[in-house]
Amino acid sequence: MYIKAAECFIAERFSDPQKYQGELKKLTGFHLRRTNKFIMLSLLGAHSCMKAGAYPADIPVYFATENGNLYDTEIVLAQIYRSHSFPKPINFINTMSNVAAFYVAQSLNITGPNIMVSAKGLSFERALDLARAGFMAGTSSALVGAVDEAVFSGAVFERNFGHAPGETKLVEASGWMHLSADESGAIGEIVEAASFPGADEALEWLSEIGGISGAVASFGIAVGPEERRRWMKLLGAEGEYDYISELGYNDSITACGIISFVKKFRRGVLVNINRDKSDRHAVTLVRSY
Amino acid sequence: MKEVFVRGRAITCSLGRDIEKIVSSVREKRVSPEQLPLSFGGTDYTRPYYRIRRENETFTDLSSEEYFYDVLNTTVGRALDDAGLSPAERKDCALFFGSTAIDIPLYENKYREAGPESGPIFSEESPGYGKIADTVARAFGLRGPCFTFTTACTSTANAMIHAAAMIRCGMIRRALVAGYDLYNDLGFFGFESLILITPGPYRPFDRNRKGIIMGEGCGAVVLDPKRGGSPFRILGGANLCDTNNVTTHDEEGPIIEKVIMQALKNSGLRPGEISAVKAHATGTVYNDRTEANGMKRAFGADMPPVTGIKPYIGHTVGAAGATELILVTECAARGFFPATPGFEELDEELGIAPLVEHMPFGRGSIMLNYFGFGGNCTSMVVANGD
Repeated sequence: MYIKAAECFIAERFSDPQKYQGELKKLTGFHLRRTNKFIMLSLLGAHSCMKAGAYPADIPVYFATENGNLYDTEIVLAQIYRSHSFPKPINFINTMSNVAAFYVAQSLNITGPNIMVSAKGLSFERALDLARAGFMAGTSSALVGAVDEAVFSGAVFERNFGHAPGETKLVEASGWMHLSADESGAIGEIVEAASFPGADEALEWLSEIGGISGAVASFGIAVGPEERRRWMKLLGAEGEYDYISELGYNDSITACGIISFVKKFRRGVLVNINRDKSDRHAVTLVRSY
Repeated sequence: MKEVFVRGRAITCSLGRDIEKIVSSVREKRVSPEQLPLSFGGTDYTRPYYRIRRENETFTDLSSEEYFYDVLNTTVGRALDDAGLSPAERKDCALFFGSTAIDIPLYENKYREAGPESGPIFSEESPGYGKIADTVARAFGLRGPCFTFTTACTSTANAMIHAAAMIRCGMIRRALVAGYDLYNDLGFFGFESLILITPGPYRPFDRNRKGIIMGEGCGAVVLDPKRGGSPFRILGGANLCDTNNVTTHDEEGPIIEKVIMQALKNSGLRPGEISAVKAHATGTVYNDRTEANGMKRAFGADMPPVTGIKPYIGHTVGAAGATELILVTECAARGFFPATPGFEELDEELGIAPLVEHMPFGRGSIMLNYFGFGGNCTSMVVANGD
């Protein structure tokens, strides 16, 4: 799967939604009414990615998110339980997070498959799996993205990941890739996107495909320091690209990490290793041109 | 190309959880929604809703987390048992979960109990959309990849066609596909706020249709290249996005036509080779009209017999991809394609008269259609013959 274009939109946690409106107007000329932060984040990333390139109208959209649109869900729950009123229709409709995927498709004039997918800790990798299945079935392109708000308080973040609040910058992010079966004009390639029930199987697979010379390793947040050292040694990696330290963290930041590598490092190879808390592993092998 | 069979299946819905009894109820056209209050909405009226019925129910709090996972896990467990998967096969099984509400039902009690001044609960505490699938996979030792599909009413139908596609291309060996939506105020009040719920009766495609009756349900199937108790296999499917409007599809039905045609193509069939269609048939004025237009464009003079089965178990929203597949295929496996209960008067404008009597069914191909908010359109074809 060749990467024709890839872009991220990253913003500080709790950024003012008005700021997103302004950015979106600048980027697309749209002024969306009755929208929310999740939808605007989605559009900012997707439009940045697709603004220059041509794409077929039936390109599939695989939209990954860990948490979806939380803002409108909170509003609707408050309308019911605090105001004792019916939800406002627009807020209710927006609780269905795939509405953001709809607006991405509508604003880019895409009528192809439109799938929102999630997986605990591995949402972006699962979207890549769906794209890969599509390519194997004969699809020639896909728009794959991951969007999440920075939802957690520092305390929840610490509880979930064991990182002290303040140690890691929490961000909102929307990262998108235009993938194609056609290599011409590509800026990189998803060489492999493989999933494993555990670390041993991932390791065995990496051994089978042989040494990855000159590779840089990167890791999801659930991969601890000791595991990282072990992987680095096993891979013989030339170095680590710590995209979380560089970009900040949200639950689907892997997309922006990979995109950032492709745009920043020419002629590089990245092996991204991620896992969920049940020890399922996903290995994404990326080449930048 | 590998075939993908429904190797195991289980359902929990308003008709119970025993498939033989559920099929008997459908055969007798037994329809029994109950009235639920909308009192939290500052009002004092009721709307019909199909609640799950389980024999010897031991839970008194149907909004507890224990009940939520008991319904889901017992359904999944029965599907896995029905498939007769060995421990090694279970380990090598992917999980595809589809839902609209996902974990929202788990938090509504907390909002009920919290004071009016309390801060956000859901956004602080929800561990994300993928948590439920992860919990189920852990409970049953499924070590394949987990996917959670959230595309509104098409969620589990999309999970089903993508699971089947991944098995076919060899990315996974087998998959458990589970669809689950439990009652939640957010959905019930939300649909009422859109003025989409009928006071009853439920009558899709009828000239006097007045809307949806929602229901809760859980359906689980094991998809596998190896055949199990069900004679049905998934032939193929398609998904497209109608960008007309976030809540409604283009009334003329062009994208519905296109998704039907793509599903047929992916299944290697022509329109005239479909034996029957399970329509989405929500019973709203607009949706039924749009769906009818799309079907007429796709099938033309070859329009197969059509049915809407939501009056049996309600609109189980994100779970419908599994619950309606199981209901239809289990009836078909027992010799009949179910009629649409409640239908009385033809709507000339639609030009579609759904089955009012059960149709004998031997072997053939069935199309199942699902449409949802966000312009999502999904069509799937199953067959029990060669």
